Amino acid sequence: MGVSLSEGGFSFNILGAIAVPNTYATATLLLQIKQGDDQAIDRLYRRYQDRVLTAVRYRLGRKLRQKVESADVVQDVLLGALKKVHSFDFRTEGAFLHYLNRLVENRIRDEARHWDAGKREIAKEHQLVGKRSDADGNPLTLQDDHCPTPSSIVSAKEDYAMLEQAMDQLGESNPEYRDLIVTAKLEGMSYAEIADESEKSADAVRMQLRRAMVELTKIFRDLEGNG
Amino acid sequence: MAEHSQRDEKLLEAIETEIHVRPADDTDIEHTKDVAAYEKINALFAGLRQPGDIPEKVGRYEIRKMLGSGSFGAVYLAHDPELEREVAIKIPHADRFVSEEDEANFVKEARSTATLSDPAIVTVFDVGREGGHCYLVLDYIPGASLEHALQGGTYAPDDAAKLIAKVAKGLHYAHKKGFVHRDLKPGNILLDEEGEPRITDFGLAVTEESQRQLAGQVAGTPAYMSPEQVRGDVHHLDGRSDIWALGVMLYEMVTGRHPFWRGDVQECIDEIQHREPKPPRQIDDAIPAELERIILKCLTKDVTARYTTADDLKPDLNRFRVGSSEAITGILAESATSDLAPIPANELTDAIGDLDLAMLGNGDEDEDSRARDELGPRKESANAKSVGLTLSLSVAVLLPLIAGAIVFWNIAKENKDFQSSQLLETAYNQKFSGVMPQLQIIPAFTRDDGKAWQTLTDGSALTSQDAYRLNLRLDHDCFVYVWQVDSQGKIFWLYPQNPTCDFSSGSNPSLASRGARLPPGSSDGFELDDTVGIEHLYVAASPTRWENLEALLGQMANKMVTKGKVTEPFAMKSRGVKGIRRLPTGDNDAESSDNETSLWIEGQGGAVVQEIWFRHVQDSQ
Repeated sequence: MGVSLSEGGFSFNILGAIAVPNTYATATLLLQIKQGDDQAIDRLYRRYQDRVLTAVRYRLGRKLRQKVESADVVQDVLLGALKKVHSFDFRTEGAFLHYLNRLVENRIRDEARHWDAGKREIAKEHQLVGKRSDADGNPLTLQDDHCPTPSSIVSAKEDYAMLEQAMDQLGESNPEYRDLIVTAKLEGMSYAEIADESEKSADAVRMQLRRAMVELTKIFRDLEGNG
Repeated sequence: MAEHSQRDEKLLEAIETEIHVRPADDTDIEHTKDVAAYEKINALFAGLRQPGDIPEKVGRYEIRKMLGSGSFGAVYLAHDPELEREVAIKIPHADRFVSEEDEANFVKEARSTATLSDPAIVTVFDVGREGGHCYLVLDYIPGASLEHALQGGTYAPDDAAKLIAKVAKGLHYAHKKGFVHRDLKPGNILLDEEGEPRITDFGLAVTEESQRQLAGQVAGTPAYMSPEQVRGDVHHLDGRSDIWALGVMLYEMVTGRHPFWRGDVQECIDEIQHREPKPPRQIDDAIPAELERIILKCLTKDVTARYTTADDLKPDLNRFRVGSSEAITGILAESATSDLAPIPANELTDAIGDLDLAMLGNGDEDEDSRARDELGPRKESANAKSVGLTLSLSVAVLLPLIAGAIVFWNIAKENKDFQSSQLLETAYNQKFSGVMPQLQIIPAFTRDDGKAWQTLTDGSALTSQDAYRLNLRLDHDCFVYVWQVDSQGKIFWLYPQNPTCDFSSGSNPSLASRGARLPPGSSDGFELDDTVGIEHLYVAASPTRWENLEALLGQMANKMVTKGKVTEPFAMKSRGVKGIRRLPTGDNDAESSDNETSLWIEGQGGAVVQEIWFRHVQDSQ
């Protein structure tokens, strides 16, 4: 059927109101990298380091998490990846983050396998299970282990520790739920993007995420009750 | 078990319907707690998506706690040890800045807002940069915002008018200094402990000089945006856009409703532009007629028919409370105490003038029109200065945009010639050849059987009876956008026709999904059966989605210069491209057997934007 321009074509308006500069910024930086601008790599790295680290930590679970903290692996992988972004077809921030995270996770898993083969148990190398960062000045650590903090920040920290614990528990019983929450809530991929990747319908993804959130909420409340 | 699953279902439903806030009720404390925990989790995740954690110190300021966060950034309560006071610190997301230059601009902008000093404006104390972040130090105003206050119900007309008059006063001060707020909304009006309004977030405000730089970076909340903002008329924004926002707020305060539908962003924007709000007295007839008139005058779509200055609004607001001794006292009291400085004589006169009018229904010449307003409708001629609406751009402007996408077009049409396409191409080559080597404009129009097609590039006239079909085929998985610009410079989306919204990302949903994905090898197309009025057709194919396309197009719409109306017949012309062709009957490629014109666009990867011009026959030679 024909489309009447005057009626069917809908009038354009600005939604840019809520303009999301993030994607613009990232896309611009990617272009600059592609032109060989090394400073852009640094900027992009700074932009993503914390978020990559956060998402990777949540998805890897308790044991592997320490690998994130103990090595420069995240930095290596991330910088390496950013130098090679030519091959990445940037669509959205979420997809880009997801891509970076997967690279980092895979590398960590590889390393962990290697270490396991060498009979070295990760769990024994570090004692601080569940701690959010190391304190050795690794540029990738989250800055949350400094000296005196106001009580509000402490309580936020406790909340985050509890959230991490809840995510770990969820991951143990239902890794798919945990991964989905990381992908949607931390990486910010859209339902449609997740649907593309998982070969489900966007609606199915949406429902699954909601069920996952129900599970997480219950675990979180149990932990709250115990704490 | 059964109980558990019932609990699950209930929470699921709450999440589904997004009704999260429910009054605690004894019968269902568990559910209330579930919902609270769910919200907390969401907030924690949102916090993690902000780059960086809560800092402990910014500059000399010790961060106490986060007061809130939004798309712009986060606001913290902090302590200034040197001046021993509490301050609010606003840290925009680092994501907002692509370059050092962006940061420098922000700092510059913020510094200029620090020159604003008015009791109705939240003061900016300091601005700085540290560790890759910019920050803004503001007066900390304990208390809630007007947005919060509105949740408690409507305002009495008198109270609403009084409050908005105070806001208008502060606004007028800022306007005089060359600032336009641009994002005035109840959330940006803080009410201090005495209930006095304080305007905040002039961080988004733009001084007149920097408007040009900010073109296209549309900022603001659509629900409070004026029609000219919604159109992306950034070059022409002045204080009158803020006056519109005052009108929206006043409307909301007295009626309890927003004048425009807020359920859907697109619809809201359409209404802002095209629908007159329901007169407040039709919602509540206790609202004084004069207040209704004031509100509707603020909400006049034609910017020239609104109040010219926020200061013009104030006496009207004060005056409508005729007969209220409280109001009269209020006017005097306000004049007497509004500033620490001696009251300028003219201000006092104004107030007395208002008082006179209020009591006697009379006034000086200036006030006469106002007096007449109370008796009946007035003519708006006095205020109808046509300011800032003339679009007179005469240069070709190239807008480098977004990654992976190349857009170019011609803007210069003042002389009604199309020579600038060459200029554009030169500009394009200069701009992009080094910048995006991996993306090239490739010959987008090809023909696979030259003989079978009659090209239309020879200027043969078409009539509105002609049927067109625009077919798109790309060998690369791309997002495809098609829009047309009519002779009035108005932009219409053609493709995708019904963009689906995706609300999952939490950010600007409809933008993200506006491109239609066209998988490799497949093709898609649509008929254009009412071609009268089409002047330009743009086709864009990009491997990346254009997140800010709309803002960009708004900018473009701005620059479209109105030409004479296109009437049939008109000629179609393509610029430097081959293959716009008439589809003969019986051709195998035809998606329809009708004798129609088809535009085939075949890309081989990369991003392509092609512009097809339809020219008025009379203009063509």
